[in-house]
Amino acid sequence: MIPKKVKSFLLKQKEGNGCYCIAINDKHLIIQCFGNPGLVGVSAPTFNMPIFEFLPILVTETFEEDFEIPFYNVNDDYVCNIYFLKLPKVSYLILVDRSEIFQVTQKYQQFAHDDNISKNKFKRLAEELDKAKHSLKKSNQEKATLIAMLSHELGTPLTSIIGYSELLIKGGSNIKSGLETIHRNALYLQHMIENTLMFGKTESGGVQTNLESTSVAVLFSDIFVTLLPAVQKKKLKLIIDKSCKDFINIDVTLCKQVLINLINNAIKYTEEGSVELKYSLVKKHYVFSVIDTGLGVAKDLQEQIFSPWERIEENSESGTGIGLFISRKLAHSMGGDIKLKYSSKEFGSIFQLILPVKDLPVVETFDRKALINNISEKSLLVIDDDYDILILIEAMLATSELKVHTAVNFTEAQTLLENEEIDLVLTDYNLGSVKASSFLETIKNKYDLPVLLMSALPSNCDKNNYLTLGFDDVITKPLSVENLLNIILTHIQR
Amino acid sequence: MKKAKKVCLIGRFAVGKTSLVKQFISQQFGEKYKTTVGVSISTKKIQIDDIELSMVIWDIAGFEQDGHYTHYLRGVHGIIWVLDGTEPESFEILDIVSKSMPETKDVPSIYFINKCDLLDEWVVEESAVNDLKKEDHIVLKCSAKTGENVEIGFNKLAQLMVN
Repeated sequence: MIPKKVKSFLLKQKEGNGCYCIAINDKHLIIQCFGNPGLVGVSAPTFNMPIFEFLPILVTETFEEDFEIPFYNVNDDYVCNIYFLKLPKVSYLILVDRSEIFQVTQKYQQFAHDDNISKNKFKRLAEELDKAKHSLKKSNQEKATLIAMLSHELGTPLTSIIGYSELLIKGGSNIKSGLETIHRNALYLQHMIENTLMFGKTESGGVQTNLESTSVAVLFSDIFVTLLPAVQKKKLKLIIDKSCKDFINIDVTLCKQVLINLINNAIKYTEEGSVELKYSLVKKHYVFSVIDTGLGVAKDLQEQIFSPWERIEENSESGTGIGLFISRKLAHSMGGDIKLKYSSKEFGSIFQLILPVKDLPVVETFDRKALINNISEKSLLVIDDDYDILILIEAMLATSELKVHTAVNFTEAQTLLENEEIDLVLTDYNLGSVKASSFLETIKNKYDLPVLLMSALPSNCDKNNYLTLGFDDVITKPLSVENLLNIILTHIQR
Repeated sequence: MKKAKKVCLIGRFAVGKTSLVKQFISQQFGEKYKTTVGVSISTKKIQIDDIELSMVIWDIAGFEQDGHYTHYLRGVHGIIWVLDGTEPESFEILDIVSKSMPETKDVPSIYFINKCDLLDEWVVEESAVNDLKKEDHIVLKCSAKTGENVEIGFNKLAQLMVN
């Protein structure tokens, strides 16, 4: 007989579902069964069988109190709820079939989960898109900053070039020294453009450095001449000790660029007093100190001033940070750093450029004079559709004994190749609508001549492409007499 | 000596609880996701020294239904927390369960961070993994697909339960 409590429980749980009831004694052995076991997907147990042998899910149960296990997956077809009712002496396990509701729940839950998984995937995709968008935005911002940097950095040498050329036009300056200043600043400008372009090409600001030996006096004199107009304009005192005879191994262009940036900033933020440049050798480091009597840098801005992204918006003194940002990058590329050593409203600031002492690389030297003697009977054909460039190259090579022929297009060049003894061809890539690559094969096959290409600041990738096309070398514009002659000498000897 | 221990897998839906059990029991993996409703039971015997341990593994439905798991965790001897390395939200379950059932903290447990085979989709930060390790938890990056660390994890839990 089933006790009343169990009966009423069964009635309550059944609700039209299949039900199976098992009575167990206090030793957990099956002593009685009620109902059809097939309705809940189990086979009929044998009597006196331990209950956990019949239902392994119960092996860890203590059977000390009532419990419920919902949605027990009996097998692939049957799911049931298990209820345990503890009564004195005999207890009852009731299995109620829940297969139907399980199927519905499973279907609903599967749909919900699949939907959730899809949503999560889309969410992740959207996040990735958002990241890509931000990175694009950042990259655009960096590009804009690079352009701003470029404008900023070009300002100093351009000021000198324009200032001195105006003076020369008006006849107000010594011609030789004026031209020397213009030339020096133009070269400086060229190096800066090259380096600034490098920033655009490399995320890490991988600027190539070129170590050379120079005296502190020469370096400081150059800087003094470059910055003199700016200092005079503000009626400041520029103190630069040009008597230091120490020779230092540095990248002169980069070092000069950084020091000029530091001094320019100092000039900009100093209304009266002086700006001083000092050099010292401290623990195998060259230390250049720029000391001003200016406004100083507020404490909360002292770290920010080296970052252009934040400072541009927050610093009312526009433009200052760009120079420092690029300067620090350049200092890093030389293995050094820039520090704000001291700053206060009362006394001004001390910025320091610290560079490690390095040995010069051993460079193979070649006897240029001997080579020049050997080219006296050689001739060069220059092809460029720009008359000014042709005239410039002729003028640049005038001191060498090289015979120079010029042509503005390939038709003219071909006439010269047919009628003259040519040893080497130097050509621009874009000749109006014609590209030099289109006649390269003809020159190579028909005349068997080395062909050099002139290109304005080509990237390494551009250079490789040109060499793959078959050009023997690439000369970077703007041209310098030294480089031009060296490359010509190298190829004409072969 | 024979012993039987109840082990529950706890984790959010689709973190791979069923797949981990399948890999441990039969070294198999199914690509198709089928959500678990209720509980499925598997048993595996492990020999630890002179003890033949019967691990009764309760593969419980994903923990997105509030409080449904209390029925299943009653009398649990060991817990396998299953997290998904490609789904940071799967870590939320740790707080939810430990708040609603603080007693689970005292139960021997291990942490599986599943799906380590999905390198491209792995988004969980190493710091989150280290945070778990800091609390002296056994944390294993695993893959129900390749079987990496699965058996090791179950065996470690078995050791903890026996000791």
